[in-house]
Amino acid sequence: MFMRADLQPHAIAIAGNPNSGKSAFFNLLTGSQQKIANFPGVTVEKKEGFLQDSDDRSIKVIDLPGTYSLDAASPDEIIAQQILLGLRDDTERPETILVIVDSTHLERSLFLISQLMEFGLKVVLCLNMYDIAEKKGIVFDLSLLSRLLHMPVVPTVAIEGKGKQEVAKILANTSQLEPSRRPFRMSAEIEQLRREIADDLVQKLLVPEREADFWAGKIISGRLQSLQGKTVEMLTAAAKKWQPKIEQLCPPNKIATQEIEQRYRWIEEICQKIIIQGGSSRSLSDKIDRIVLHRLFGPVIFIAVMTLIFQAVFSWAEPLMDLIDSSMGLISTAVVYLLPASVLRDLLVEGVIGGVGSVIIFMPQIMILFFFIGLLEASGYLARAAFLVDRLMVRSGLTGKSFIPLLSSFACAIPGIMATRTIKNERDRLTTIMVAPLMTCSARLPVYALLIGAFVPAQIVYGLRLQGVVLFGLYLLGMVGAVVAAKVFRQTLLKGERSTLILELPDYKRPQLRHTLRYLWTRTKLFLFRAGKIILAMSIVMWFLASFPKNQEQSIEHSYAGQIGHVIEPVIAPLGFDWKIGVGLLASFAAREVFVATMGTLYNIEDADETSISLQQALKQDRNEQSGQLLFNLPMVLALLVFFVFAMQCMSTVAIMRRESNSWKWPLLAIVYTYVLAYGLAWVTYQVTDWLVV
Amino acid sequence: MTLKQAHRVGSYQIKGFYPTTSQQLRLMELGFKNGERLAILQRAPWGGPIKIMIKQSRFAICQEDAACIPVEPLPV
Repeated sequence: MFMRADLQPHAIAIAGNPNSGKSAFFNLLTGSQQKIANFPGVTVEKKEGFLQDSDDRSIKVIDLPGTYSLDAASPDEIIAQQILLGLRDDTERPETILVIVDSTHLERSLFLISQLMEFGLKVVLCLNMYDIAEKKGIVFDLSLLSRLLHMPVVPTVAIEGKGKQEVAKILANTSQLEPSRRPFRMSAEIEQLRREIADDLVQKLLVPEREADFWAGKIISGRLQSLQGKTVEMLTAAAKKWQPKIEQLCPPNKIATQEIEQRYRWIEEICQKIIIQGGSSRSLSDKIDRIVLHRLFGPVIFIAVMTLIFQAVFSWAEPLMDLIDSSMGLISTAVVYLLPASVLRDLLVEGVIGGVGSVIIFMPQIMILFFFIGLLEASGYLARAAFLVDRLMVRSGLTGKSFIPLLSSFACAIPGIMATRTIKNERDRLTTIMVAPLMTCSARLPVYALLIGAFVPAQIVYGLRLQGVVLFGLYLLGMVGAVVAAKVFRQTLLKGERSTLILELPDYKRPQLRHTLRYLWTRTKLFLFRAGKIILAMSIVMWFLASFPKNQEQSIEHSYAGQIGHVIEPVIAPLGFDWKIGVGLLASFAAREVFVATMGTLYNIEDADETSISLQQALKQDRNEQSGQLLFNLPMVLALLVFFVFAMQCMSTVAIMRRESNSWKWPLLAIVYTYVLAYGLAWVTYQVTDWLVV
Repeated sequence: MTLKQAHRVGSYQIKGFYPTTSQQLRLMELGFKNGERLAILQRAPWGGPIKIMIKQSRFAICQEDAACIPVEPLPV
């Protein structure tokens, strides 16, 4: 039986090309009533909201992913089609589609419109950014356009709220709209076959008549399978008998090509009739690009912009981080003061507040990065940055779009991984997510500072500070590791069509602060509430391991964590590590910088941080319990540093990877591969330097 | 010649483009079809992508894709 979701008169879908102001329009219609999640199993964002009409009824608004076409079978395009066809259990099937079009690019947008019209749904067209088109001198015959397409056409300016009333009025009365139809015709033979197939589908499979033509078209162009699901399987089986006839007419790819040509023929006809004046093709953006994408100035401006952002991330974040640090301290003190000494109090103070605090402390950096990424995206510079660095990224099997996510990971892998949403190619996106934790994030700095400060002599060699050279070397090591790992992933697990870069360079726009702040807020919320649960759970586990079983000396050595440290000592001994480092590594699995505090606890130094002289002294004097030699010798310290370069010791990253890849497979694989790399390279470092030093 | 080989900034016409891969079909959907006119506006440094204008839209297209699009220069 041909089973599908019923049409919902009170649900509408918003469709449109990227950069058409679709999000702005969605925000305009739904205000703050939005729900953002992922579609299960894929990383396509699901945005839903509600529009209140004049009778106070709620109309559900579903924001489809922004695409140029619906046929190329990328994950977001498949989902858009599934929703419009009622093939998804998790989303209502809309009866009306609101198409948002950039008025200055009507011709290109008509391609998507020609596809949307085939679904037999009701379509409403918004000519958005109408003011810009007017300024460019473009003149349309709107009433003729509406008559030719058989749909209402509304000129709008979403960012100024212009056109909202009119659109809302139309959406409140969709019963008066007529369902759209396929606007173009193929050759007589193909049309004949299409009709035969459609009739057969109606009679044999009880496909509703107004949809039969759509499905017949899918069968003929060989683009059915990608839609997935039981209904589609049934149709695919039914389509088999038509296959010889289809192939007799034309090879499959040729039909797809002809179809595109027919669509464009229709588009050109429409445009000739309704565009009264074409306007000037020269744009201010082209003039700006002549400098921004210039061979020489382009890279210079790019480096300047990135430097500025990173300066801001670190210098603006610092006072806020101090503030969070001291507030966490205050909250702990308050809890200690209010509650009697108990396991519950310890759990709250050390597990919950301490554990979550060690993650929250990085929120200012994360949020400032989100803010700038939002600005870059809204202004149109993000696409230019991808353009400029594409060549560099191709070497690692990625494209220019991976650059900003990886660069952001130098501050923190979390905004980096979340910024991969701009990468459309799924394999590129996963590869970027997998290697992002190898970029040296700011949580590694306290560890580096402690170890370099204590063990790398403050000498100047060839006019360079040795400590600085080592630090730079660690950054470089992470980058090289990421490039190599990306290459390996692209050639093994994430092997696939060589990814190429084709991206639109939208006109530069002045970013709207309101939209950028909204972007910042949704990203931050996503991180805090989604990743927060996992972070909290892991904090409690780590606290439990470090504080139980209770013993009289209250020492960490006899806790489960200490015991695990002793158990893993033989495994890490080849790296020159003893059980105390083992405990440190275990504790820093949650967050890298916890290593410093753990060392402080192990060496009984109060309030230890990376600049603490007493902690540095204690480390310098510690001796290996078995051999009696200094524990922290140069080979061991270097091995430890190398370990920190590669190991993914960050539960927030694990949590966000889980969320962004929609499975546990990738984060678990990332833990395994980074730890294998960390162990292997630390071992090599230890053995080689040990041999060199002796 | 192909779009990759077209070094001069200026107007061209696509001649005889027939897509064989899904990526090429995608290019066609964006308007890169036989007979279409396009303009090369800029080239990125170090053999990077090319900035072109097609149907009033600006696109960055990488050399690999450019190599599969046959073009002829239009008289200035």
